Amino acid sequence: MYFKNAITVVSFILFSAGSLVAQVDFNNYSTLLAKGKIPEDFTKLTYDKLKDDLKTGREELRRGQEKVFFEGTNYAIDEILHSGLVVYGDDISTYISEIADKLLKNDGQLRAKLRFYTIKSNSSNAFSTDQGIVFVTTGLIAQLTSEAQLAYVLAHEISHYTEKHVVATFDWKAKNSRQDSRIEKLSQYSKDKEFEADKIGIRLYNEAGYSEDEIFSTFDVLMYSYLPFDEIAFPQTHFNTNKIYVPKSLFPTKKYEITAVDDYDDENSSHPNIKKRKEAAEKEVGEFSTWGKKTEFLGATRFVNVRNIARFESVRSDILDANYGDAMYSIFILEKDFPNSIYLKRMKAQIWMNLMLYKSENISNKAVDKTAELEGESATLHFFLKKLSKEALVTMSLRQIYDIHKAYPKDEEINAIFHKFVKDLNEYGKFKSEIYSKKTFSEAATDFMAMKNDSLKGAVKDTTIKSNSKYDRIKNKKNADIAENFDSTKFYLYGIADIISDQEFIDLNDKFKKISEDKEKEKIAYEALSKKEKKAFDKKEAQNVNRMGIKEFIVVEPMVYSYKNGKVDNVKSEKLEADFSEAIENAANDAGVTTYNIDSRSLTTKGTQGFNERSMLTALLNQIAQEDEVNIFPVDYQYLNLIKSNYGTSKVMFSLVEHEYAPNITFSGVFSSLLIYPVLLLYVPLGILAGHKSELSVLILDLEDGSIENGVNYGFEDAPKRLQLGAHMFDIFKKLSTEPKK
Amino acid sequence: MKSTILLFSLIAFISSNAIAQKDNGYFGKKGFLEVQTLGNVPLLYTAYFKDFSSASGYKADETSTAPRLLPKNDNFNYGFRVNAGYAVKRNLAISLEFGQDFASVYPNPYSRVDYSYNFNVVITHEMVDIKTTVIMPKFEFYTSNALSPMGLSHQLGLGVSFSNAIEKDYVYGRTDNYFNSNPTTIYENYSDKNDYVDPINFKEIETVKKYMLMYALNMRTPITKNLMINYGVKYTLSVGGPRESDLYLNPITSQNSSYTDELEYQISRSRTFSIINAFAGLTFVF
Repeated sequence: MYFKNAITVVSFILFSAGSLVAQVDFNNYSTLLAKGKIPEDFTKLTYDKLKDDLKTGREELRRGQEKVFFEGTNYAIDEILHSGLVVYGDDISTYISEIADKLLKNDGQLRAKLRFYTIKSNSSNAFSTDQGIVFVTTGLIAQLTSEAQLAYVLAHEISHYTEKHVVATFDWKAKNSRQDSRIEKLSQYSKDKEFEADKIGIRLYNEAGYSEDEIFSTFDVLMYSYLPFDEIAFPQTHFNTNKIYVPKSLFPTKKYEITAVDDYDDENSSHPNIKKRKEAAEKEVGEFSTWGKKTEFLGATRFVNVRNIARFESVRSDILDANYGDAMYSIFILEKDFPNSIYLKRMKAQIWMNLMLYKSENISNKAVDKTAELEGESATLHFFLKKLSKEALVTMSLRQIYDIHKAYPKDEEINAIFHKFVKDLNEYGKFKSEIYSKKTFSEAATDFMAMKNDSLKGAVKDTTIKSNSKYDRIKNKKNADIAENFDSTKFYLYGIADIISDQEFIDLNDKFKKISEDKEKEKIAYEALSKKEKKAFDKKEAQNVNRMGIKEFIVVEPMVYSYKNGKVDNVKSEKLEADFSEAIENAANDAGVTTYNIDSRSLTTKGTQGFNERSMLTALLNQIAQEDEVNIFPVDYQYLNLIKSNYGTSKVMFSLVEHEYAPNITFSGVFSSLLIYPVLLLYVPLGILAGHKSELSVLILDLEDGSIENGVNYGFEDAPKRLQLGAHMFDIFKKLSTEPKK
Repeated sequence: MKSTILLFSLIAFISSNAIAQKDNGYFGKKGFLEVQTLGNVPLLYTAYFKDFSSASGYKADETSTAPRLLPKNDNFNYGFRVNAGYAVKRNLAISLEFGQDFASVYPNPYSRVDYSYNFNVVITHEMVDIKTTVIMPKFEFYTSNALSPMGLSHQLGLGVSFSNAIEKDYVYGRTDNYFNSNPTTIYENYSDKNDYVDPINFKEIETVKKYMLMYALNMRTPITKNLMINYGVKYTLSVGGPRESDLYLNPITSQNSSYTDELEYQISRSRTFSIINAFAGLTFVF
């Protein structure tokens, strides 16, 4: 499979590490959204941008190279802009822009050319593009300790732009494509550009009046940015309450040291190592006789506010990326300042639910760090999550989610999580309430100690048990309520005594248990059918395939990837995307289905609301793609609910077409056919006519719970033109809108 | 993006086997009626003819007022088809094809007795036009997820063809004293009404019937919601009709109907060699 753009072609990544604004209500936080008027960067079609650029041209490049450069840069940048991760006009982007105002107060012309956007990503990066866009990730902001550090990062990025490093690097690559040891030379070339950007950036930074010390602390930020945004010891008693006790044996006995060094080998790296950068910066700083003292111009409160937004976003980003251990550690830190944040509670509940699902599917190693990667204070939590057995994790998840649910019984999202969790508990967790004790850990431990004492004193242990039959005694061995069965390593058996006797939980659990059992019975009944009966049953079922009785869809950004010689033809793909969108709209009309289109082509009219809706829905798709092995809960539940009520439907359609025209005619084929002459007359037309390979895939998601409702795929040997796609979409809409047969 | 594409691929893979085949048609339309023109360059037939008789074909010289023949080959044959069909499943349609083909055959030059009963007259005849009527039921096979009748289909047909020579005012040449030192050629045509001299008695030519097995690669590309263009290649195997061995039983050596028989064989051979045809046309979908 091939992918649309290579980001590395266009961006100059600097940091491989992350007006007065109204105070954000972190207790009721909601994810960062774009605000204000939508900039042209987001509404102009890439093809139009490319046309304009080609008209203007670039004197640094030859005519043939210009097209490659502009096509590569425009399509790569637009893929980022429309990735669903970028926001504009929000509190962070506004803050960044204001710092840029400060840095460029003496160069209004340059300032007017630059745009600053935030990327919601935990990768700690900032990068500038040849188009004058500077991106900063929330992951980087979350790591910073002052406004001045951000100012230095921006000054560095602006210097990449003013010195035209992107186009220079492109030109260097083109001219040195056949050089020996090209990688090493490119690495050196790139490092030289980094030193140059540091040098010019320091001048900009100095002119703005920021303190020199913050330059060096910025390098520390970079060095340790792979760690969480803070280093706070995770107590081994963190999960202990009067309801559950977690033994210390589940936690590491040693500290996991931080291993980062500043003089790492940078031979093939695009950036000099931190030590070299610090040394070069020290030299450059010495060139200036005067230095300001400011670490904040916009105020420390504002900086902390912006950083907290970034940190809250880091929780969401980690959940989207299924980094649940990291997300839980971030919540642990944030809850120290925001103990009543319902947003953090919602995220925490989601994490526990997803961890349970991952463990049930035996893929939990994806969600927490590998032992070899354990480093710093967060290692304690990762270690613990890794060490939990499946049963223990199921119990811990239930304990945590139940407690959150009880603390916020009226919160719609937490209720939805709780319901889904209990459902998943039966479907995936194979939950059996009867194995659990009705006593808490301390009660069971006390009884056990008392029994032990009685035994030492020679007292009769339990006459009731002794009087039972052999079979009762066998059963009793599994009964966690009996004092002599107490096992402290199975702490989880004594962690949900209150839950299994709570009527609300019992009712809900029974309901989903029955559904699970019914499904199992259906499966068994099917297996018991004869071959003929199975065939008849399958035939009947096939009639209902894709029939859902849905008359309204939100249609999100139809995607087309048209390949040429194995690579994506961006221009053709974009044109085909326009055809595809039109085809979907027309086909839906013909099929009597109502569609609401949310795509990048309609943003001029739909504005920022359309942009935000598209971003949230794209994030949902990415989350599902990330966690395709389990049925996830949508991280943006609140906003998706809003979309649902705005459009009156929860069914969202995503679609993708992949196409390649590759006539299946080979030299050896022609040669072989020549030997049997008439075969050539069949071989060539067949190769040409069957050369088109198109594949249309459609996914239907439900915003209610983020589940995949349906998936449809058509492969056909034809070009993906408007009518061909329209016919297939008509067929899909017809089926999806038809009620299933009883 | 990589993971998104993978997700699509995964879902697609799971779901693709479960598409109900009866949900088909182009925008729900399953019936179709199409017209096609088809053509071929009869290279094989011409090559075969030349190889075995070392003779070229002839065509009347249109620029001349007096009847005259010019050496010429049959360069292009054409025809038309009307095809009515129905999409039974996503990947299967049935249809019935009717059409006519127009071609020319090369009558062999031959010598015959003159009035003195000497074999010293050689006849060269203008190419004779033939018309073939074709009727053929067909099956159209598509890839499993296709939407018949749209897109690429592999068609199989079994049909029958009826070919006749077209009677018209052909020109032929009589070379008298052919075996003498001073031959003379006289050009005549059928409108001279000299039945005795005219080499072909068209009333005697029987319809040449052949069975056809056809395979076609047919692409239908939509241009509106009711109309498609179709194009592709047909490969036909024609069997039956007069056999060459029959001809030798009655050699062309005298003034009898053998020349007419020979023409029937030429018609049959022309059809046999009409193996590959390219076609294009319009398909109305309803």
